[in-house]
Amino acid sequence: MLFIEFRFIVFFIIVWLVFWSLRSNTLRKWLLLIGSYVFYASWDYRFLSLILIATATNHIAAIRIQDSSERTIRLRWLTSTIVINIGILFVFKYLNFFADSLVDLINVFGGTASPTLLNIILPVGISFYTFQSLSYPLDVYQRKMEPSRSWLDFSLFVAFFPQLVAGPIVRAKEFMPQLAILKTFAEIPVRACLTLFLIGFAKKAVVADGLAPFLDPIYENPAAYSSLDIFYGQLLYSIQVYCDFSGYSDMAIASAGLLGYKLPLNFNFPYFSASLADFWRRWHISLSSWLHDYLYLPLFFMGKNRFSKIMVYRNVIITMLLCGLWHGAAWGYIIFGLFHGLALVVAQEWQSFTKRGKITIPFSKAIGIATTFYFVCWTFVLFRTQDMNVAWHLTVGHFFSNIPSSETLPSAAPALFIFLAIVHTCFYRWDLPKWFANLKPWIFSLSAGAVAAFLVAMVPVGYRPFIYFQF
Amino acid sequence: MKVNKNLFKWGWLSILFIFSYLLIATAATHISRYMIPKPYMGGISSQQEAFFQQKDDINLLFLGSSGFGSTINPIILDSEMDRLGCPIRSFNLSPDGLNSIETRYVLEQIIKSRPKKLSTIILDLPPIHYGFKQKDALRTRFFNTWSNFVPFVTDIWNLPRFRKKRALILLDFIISFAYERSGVGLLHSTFISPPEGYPPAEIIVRQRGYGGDLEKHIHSAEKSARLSREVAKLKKQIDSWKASYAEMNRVGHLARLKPVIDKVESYGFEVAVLLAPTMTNYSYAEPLKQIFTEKMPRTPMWHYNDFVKWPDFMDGANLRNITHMNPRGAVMFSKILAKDLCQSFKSGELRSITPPLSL
Repeated sequence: MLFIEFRFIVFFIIVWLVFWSLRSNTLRKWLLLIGSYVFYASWDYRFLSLILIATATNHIAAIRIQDSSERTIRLRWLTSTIVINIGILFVFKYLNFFADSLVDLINVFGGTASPTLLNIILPVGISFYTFQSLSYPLDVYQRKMEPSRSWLDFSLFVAFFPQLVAGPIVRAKEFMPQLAILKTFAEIPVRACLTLFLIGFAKKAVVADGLAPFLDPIYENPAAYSSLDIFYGQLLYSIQVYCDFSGYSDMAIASAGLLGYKLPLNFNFPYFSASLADFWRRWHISLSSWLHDYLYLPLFFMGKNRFSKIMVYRNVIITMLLCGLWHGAAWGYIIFGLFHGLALVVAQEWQSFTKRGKITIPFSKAIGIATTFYFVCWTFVLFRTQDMNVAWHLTVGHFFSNIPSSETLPSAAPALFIFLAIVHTCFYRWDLPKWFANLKPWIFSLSAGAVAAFLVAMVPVGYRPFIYFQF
Repeated sequence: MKVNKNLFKWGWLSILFIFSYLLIATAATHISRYMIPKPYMGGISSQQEAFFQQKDDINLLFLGSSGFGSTINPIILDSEMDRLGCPIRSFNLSPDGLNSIETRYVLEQIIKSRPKKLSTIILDLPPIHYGFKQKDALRTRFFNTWSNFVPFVTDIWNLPRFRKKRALILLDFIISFAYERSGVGLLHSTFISPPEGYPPAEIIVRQRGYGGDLEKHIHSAEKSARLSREVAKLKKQIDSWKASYAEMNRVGHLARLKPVIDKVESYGFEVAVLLAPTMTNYSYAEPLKQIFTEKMPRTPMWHYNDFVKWPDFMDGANLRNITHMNPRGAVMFSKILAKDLCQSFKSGELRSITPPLSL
């Protein structure tokens, strides 16, 4: 059930109406929990069991961690729940990849081994809800929060349908206190939420899905395209992937908002980042901050000379490697993470160098934005294709124009990119959603209806799943 | 009291929202009704190119979907017609899933190219499914116009054989109406088209529109028998199930093509419609012909979906699958078609193969 599907709209309207007609907070939470399980079961009901396992293990572990004063027992419970959750994630997402890679390695060294791959289906959203639910015992272990004794609250935190399958990755300490409060309809920013939902819908259904048919041929056969076409293709793909994922996040935040729950911001105009570090503070913020808090910072406690430059860079590269691996079980993602890790190190060194030498570069912000955007576009090749030959072709084709092209992108591609960039800049410069949401209620209703109808008419026929669902 | 006030406020605003939505969606529907969606030429270009390379030698063109592609072998057809005294050179332009948008586009290209000897064009009438997830079907559905659609629904409604299925017809109609009026994809399919289109599947450039490995899909006796059983089972199901919506769609599709057919005919080409023997066509051939002959009496239409008259068409040995013939079936059908075509030319139902006068 995709957010842009008609059946989701029907599902949501029913849940929303029943939710606000109930007066009891407990009943509302039960409604949301059952609705969330129905939502997930619409993908594949068999994998509900994995959500239940994640819920049970983390809930029990968190309570045991809290109740125990002995460090070893606390650590044992934390380790157990991490092993179980990461183990499940590993089996469903990474087992085949590592088995396959091991076989390749053995064959490279002259051994003979044949892969016996298991027929494993990747459960939708497993990376998201595993990380989200794991943050709970980790926070309890670090005494950042006290665990809830309510199974209902924790189950709803794990399974809450707006963010279940593709984030944002919510922290328990931010979300669970909200469950204790009985919301009133008057405090819900309905117009702001509807505006955000329409923006998310436009990003995903109109822009991202509308660009896909133009870009698919390039990534299927880049050898047939000129370097200029590949260049525009990569620029447009960066827009597609941004609109696809941030569109989902917008719709998730809006849906949760309409039910009275606040989810964290997941994208903050990442293509206006003046550095790569800034980019990761604005792109998939909930994942970046998760990795920062639960991986990058704890890594400093492993090894000597904890805060030396070498340690910082080691931790950055490890974090980015795992960030790449989080996105998928393929070498392309790992290389993506490695490139970003190395680039962050280089950027940090450059910054230190300019500071030391008191060097001032004119238009440094504009140059920073352009180079960061270009680098991100370039590395997104590894996001789009897992075929290393195709990735290589795109990389080479990106720089050299000696490839004779038999196909061309439509001549409107540059204009399309410029148009979308201008629209995006307008949203960045002026808070258009806020302006729209603050229109007089009757003008807002008429305008929102018209915008919705126009967007629906612009939806390409045939839905495409969200790109981030595969992660 | 406060709740009631809120309820009233939000109820009123919701009505405004819905009103505005419906207004714009209806406007979009009306605008897009008069616009033709962009053709997706990915699967067609190479076959079209092959046709244009030899266009001045072709007398008879078959233009249809894979139903035609797997059923009509022009080489067999031509030699059989030659033997029967109707010398002809035909071409079978039939990519998979060809629908009315691309059919129209190809027909327009043919008019522009002015082929010297082409006299007759025989069209397929592939179905437009209601499946919401079928991209081709969804695009093509927008091609229907309600002003054309409604009379056909009424006609089907009044057919004696559908009297007991009226509730289903009505339900289909309501769903279609709601879906199309909500405006999904109307503007996108009209204005935007991917550069190469889809499907990106393998494209076979056929010498005469039909060919490939002649031994392919000639099954073992065991598989043939199994296929026969499947076909017989399906026939039994279809006999007890009337696919009303499919008929509506086909006629709706044809209604949209009618202006193009008229245009093609005005240039001196003769157009006919053929429903090749497939289980898909079987499910609605008879009632469709009934309506078709009533609505377009000048255009000849033949169908070969009478499995009592032609039991071989149900024989698994002649089929690739339940909806397509294999090369052996195509040889058999092409010979039968040649005989009937020749008879039509001789009887005057179709004009004899001569270049159109207006060219």
